[in-house]
Amino acid sequence: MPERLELSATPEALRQVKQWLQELKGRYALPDIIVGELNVILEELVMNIIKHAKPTPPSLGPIPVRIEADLSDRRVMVRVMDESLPFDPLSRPKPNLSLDLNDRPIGGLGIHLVRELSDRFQYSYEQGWNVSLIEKTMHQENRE
Amino acid sequence: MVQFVEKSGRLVCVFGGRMDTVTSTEMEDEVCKQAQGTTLPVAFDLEGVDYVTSMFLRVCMRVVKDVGKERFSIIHVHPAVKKVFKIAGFDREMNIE
Repeated sequence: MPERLELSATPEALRQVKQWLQELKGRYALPDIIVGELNVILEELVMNIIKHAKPTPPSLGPIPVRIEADLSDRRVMVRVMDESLPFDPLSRPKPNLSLDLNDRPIGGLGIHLVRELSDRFQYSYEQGWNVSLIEKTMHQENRE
Repeated sequence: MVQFVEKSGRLVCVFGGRMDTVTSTEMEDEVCKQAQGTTLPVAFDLEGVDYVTSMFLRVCMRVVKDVGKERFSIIHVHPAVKKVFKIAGFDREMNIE
């Protein structure tokens, strides 16, 4: 039975995500490093929804967000879902990190962080919901 | 949250706590204003910070563009934060001590 958190796409959701992760940390004895990186991933994905998701007509918002987590001692699988028009975060262009800092745009690194901090990151659209599937494996260094 | 002190010939911005989206957004303009208002090199002291998101990376980028990368450094970086900087490609271009 996965853990579940129901939210609305508002900045208040960020505080609720942080609190929920602290509860999971206590319940599943998750390492600090995993909790910290999951927090970054979820914060970036929820912020992406807040900034870019468009309500499905006739709804006017706020957009419902649901996060489910399936945890074991070897990996964490998280599904971040929002009920809105299709929007694939993986369609956003990857930043060009080889550019000189002066030539790089300000911002645009949120989804890049999600990609790089996850062992798996997939997107699908299921029955009116955008679904981002994230997997993090408990590497040996993360368990310590 | 953030304090500004002149130390050893540079303006040091001493951050404390989680540099999450909300916190970074709240202080972005003040940090940039302080950086723009000095001719000294600018350093971000992150000794008290173990969590950053892309919004804090944005603050770093804005300051770098304002003062120039030669005048900007980041000191006392927690390993978890260093990992985020590395993912962002900051470790190659910014002076991270």
